[in-house]
Amino acid sequence: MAVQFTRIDLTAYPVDEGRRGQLHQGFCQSGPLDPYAFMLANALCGQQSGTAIEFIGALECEFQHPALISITGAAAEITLDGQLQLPWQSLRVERGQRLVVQPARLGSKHYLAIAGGFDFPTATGSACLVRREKQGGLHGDGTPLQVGDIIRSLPPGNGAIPGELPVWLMPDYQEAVNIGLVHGYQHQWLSSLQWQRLYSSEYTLTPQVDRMGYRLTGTAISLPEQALYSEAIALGAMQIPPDGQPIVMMADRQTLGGYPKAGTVARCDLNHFAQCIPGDKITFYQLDADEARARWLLKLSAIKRWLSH
Amino acid sequence: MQAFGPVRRVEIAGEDGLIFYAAGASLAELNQQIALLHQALSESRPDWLLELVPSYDSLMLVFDMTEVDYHRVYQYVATLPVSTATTHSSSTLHRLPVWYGAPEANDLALVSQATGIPEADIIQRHQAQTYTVYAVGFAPGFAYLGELDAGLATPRLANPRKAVPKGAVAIADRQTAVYPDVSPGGWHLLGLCPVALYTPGCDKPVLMQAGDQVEFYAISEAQYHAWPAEPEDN
Repeated sequence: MAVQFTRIDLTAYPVDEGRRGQLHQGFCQSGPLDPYAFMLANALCGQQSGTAIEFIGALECEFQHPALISITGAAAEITLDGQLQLPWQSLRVERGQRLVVQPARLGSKHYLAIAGGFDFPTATGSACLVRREKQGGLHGDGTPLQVGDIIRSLPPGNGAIPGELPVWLMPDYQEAVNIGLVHGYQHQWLSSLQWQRLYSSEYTLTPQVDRMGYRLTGTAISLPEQALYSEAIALGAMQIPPDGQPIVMMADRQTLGGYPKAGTVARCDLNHFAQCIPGDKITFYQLDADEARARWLLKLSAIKRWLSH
Repeated sequence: MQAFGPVRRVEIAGEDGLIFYAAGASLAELNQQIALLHQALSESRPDWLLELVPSYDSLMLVFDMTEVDYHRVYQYVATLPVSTATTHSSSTLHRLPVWYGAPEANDLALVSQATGIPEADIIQRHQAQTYTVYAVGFAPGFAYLGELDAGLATPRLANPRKAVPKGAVAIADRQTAVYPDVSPGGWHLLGLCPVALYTPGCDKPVLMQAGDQVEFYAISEAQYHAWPAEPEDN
């Protein structure tokens, strides 16, 4: 089975769960920016995991064989041979059918999954594409998908195709989001005044957004000047550089860094944060690690319940 | 969370991570404690352990939060037997050739100006030390080596380079490193090393591991260009 990509407005590339056990060698973790949308895209294709396409901007492709697919992520207009389709659904496509996904907002992230998963070469145990490491993609050298590329898919497993996705499992992405922050790392460097400034201010996402990190602008957070050795950066870590404007570290973040960190974005809110585009408004609230973990586990068990029906 | 044994502080690094900071008087000692803790955890490898990322004086541990929470992980690490051996016998010694003063990577004049040390002495002093890999990170195969001769310590460039050449041998503060690939960078450059530190796609893509030892030795321009045809001088 194969799919030909006929239009890529901005960028499209393969993603899976990312690298495992490679961070200590300097390989970034990678993986989807919106792990929730990625996970459900695969679930809708009857599988736990599989390489999918993450894309930003409009995407068009043609199916050379019948297939089962799904499209998840932020709001988009989806058509199959001109017929309007719903996102977050399992879709059966026929040979020769043309899929068009037109995102509602430029910069949001979208996922195309296929039963069996797309067949890309893997390196460091993952099909993820990391341009600066010259890894991943059709040629294994970090080149994203190009118009005209034909990507094969692997034979589907025997997982059952789940029923319709319940509304409460569909994320409601907003242009103004309230994001949970789990205190950690150098949290003691922030005085109570600085915490108050952080939690009572509205931040704006700047245009400096990529798979490594999202830079915010708003009330500056000032920290005492203290020496800090470079240390490991967790997914969602909020760095406070000398200008006081937070940077949240995302999937392709470098493994080590020397800026102090206030904490990390809670996993249960990471997808809402990841879907923000420059100009969107972000506020933060405090979430303790136990509560953040409990909320994420609740999400996972809700998905499990849906899948076992 | 309370300090214990070789650990001076433990902090949360996300709801699925903890970061352990070592106790010790010198950087060498801090890094040694991290190496020992890293080794102990790598060997015991509980099922819920996903990532171990050591650095200068810290070790981040990422766990499977569907299996355990941070209280359990803290308890596990705090009661884990950690060897106190001060020698790391399994570490590898890498001897890296350097064409000092290669025109594409030559800040020797700047370093000489900043430190008051003649260029020839800078080259000599850079080779005089056996360095320890304190951390691997930033990019695949980028090894932070310490500690550089205190006399050679220089601040970073005021204007970082957009593209440091692959193989550039660089110094900053009391650290030295070889750039595995072209990348932006703000360190002062001393020369070029022809040995590949990162080979994408191969079985062992990254040459150096935290804890390894490194020595540099000078080669000529002709030897650099002929590399690896010249037999390795060991």
